[in-house]
Amino acid sequence: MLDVQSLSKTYDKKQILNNLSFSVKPGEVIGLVGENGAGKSTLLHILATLSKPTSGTVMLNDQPYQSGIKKIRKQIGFVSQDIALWEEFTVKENMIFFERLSWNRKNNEKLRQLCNDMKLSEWNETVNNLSGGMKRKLNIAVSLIHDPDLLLLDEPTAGIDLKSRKEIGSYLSNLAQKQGKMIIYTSHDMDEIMQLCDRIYCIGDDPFYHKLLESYGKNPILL
Amino acid sequence: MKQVIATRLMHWKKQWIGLVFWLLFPLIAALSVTMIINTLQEDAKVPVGVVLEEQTVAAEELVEKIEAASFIRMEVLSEQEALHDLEKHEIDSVFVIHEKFEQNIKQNNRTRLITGYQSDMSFAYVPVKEMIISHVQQETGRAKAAFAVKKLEKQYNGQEEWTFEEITAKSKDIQREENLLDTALTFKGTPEAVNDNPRLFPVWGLWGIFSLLSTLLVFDWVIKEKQSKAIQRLVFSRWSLKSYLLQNLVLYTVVMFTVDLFTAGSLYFIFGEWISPISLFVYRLLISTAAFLFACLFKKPFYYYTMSFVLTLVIGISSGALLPSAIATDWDWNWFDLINPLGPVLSENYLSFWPAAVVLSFVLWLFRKEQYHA
Repeated sequence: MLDVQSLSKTYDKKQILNNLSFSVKPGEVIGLVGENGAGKSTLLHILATLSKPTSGTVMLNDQPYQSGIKKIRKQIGFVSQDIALWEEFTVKENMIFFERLSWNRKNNEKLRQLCNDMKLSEWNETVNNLSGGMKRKLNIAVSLIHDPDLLLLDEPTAGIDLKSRKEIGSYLSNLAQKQGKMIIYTSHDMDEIMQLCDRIYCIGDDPFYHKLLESYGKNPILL
Repeated sequence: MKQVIATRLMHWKKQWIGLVFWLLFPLIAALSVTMIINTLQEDAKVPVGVVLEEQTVAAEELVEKIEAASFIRMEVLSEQEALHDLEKHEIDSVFVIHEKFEQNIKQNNRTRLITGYQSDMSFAYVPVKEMIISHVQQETGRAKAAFAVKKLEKQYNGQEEWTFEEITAKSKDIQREENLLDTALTFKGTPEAVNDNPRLFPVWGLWGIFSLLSTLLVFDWVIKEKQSKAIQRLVFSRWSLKSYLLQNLVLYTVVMFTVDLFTAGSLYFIFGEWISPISLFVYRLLISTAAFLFACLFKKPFYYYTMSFVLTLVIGISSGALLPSAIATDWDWNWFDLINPLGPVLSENYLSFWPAAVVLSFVLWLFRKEQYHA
């Protein structure tokens, strides 16, 4: 379980996040929406241990973040907006490369199965030659090599075709339901968020998103 | 470490042509440049023809003497060939060593031993003639001395019964051992200059410079990988970025040192020039670490490459490895040895400014806080 209490973040005297508190249970998919610059990525970076909060506490599976960064990072998978892959490597080589550096050992069969589960079958194709959707799938697959409990995704489906988007959404739903992973997800695609997420948190005070969520029949949870 | 080696091998598999090229570049470049310089020096020598009318020890010695002159390329020819080549200006001058050369020297007969020919374009005739005259005088003097010894032996009823050959051989031994003709001239009050300036060993100097350049260029991986998005994943891996970079630095250093040892063997085999493995290791450690730290300062490979070439050129010129003449001035260059980064390879001077600066910088890098934190 992820537990966030009274989390604040200030950059150059500008308040980005103000006293956020929420929790995520295993198997839950949480959506984060809000205008650009509202603090979605900042929140994900804090949850991913890539940035320090100005105040507040974060606990993952009852372990506070301050207790030991390595232990916390072992339980986190982070998918950034960027394609964080070796472009000249094949899908197979990327998977093996990051598996070698990972805490968990997985054989080639399991790595290939992970890709197949994401409908990524181009095992021997170089990343350069993959479509945008395939790259995004591989980007997520690499983040799952060490079996994290918490998966943080920062606009993982930006700029890809509808089919790939559906396949990624479907995979993430399964991941939460069957393996009990906690997933926190940011996206500007409201349809995708509505279909995928159990709860939606609205960051920032832009009334546009509040009204948009209400039009989808959802009560926005304001952070 | 095993896992990092495996990931590095995956990178090398993709870049093996470039990597092999840059690893072998110092050896190939040092060999090529040295061989080209040797060829040019050989071509720049003045061709002189020698005609041997007798094959005696004295005649052979004179030929060896001419051949040993650094400015002459000597060819033994028949008289007809030699005069033909002289006429065509293919050789500078011709010297005919006549029959009974040895016999005449022994008899202290210094006339008509050698005939010299020159053309209107000859310019090495006079120095070669002087060299031959000097040699003949030396040999006739030696013969005269041998006869004097024999005469004295007879006069005083000596028991040794030395032959002429034994006396001249002994004379040559003494000349060689005593080194009578080698004199060091110094200004009053200044110590005698030691003529073992290591900066004048061009093969290892050239290798040192080319090795520095290749190491800098090979270490562009630091910039490429540090700037890549993929490396951000290390945050969620077993290795920190620092640990990953450090292990790769060790791996590169080991591989490059192995190539250095191969280079040392090759240069010894080809030129007979040896370098101690300790010097080689210290130099490798120094340039690998320096290149690594230098690469850490850059974000764009283009600026790094530009600065690498500039740095190599500056060090190449200032160290005296490329242009020994640049340091052969009235300046007191002893202080330069202290800051010369090529010190370990050129003068086996391990305790200089550069190793100390690199070690200090490396320690600072090692204890610097990592970029990613909680």
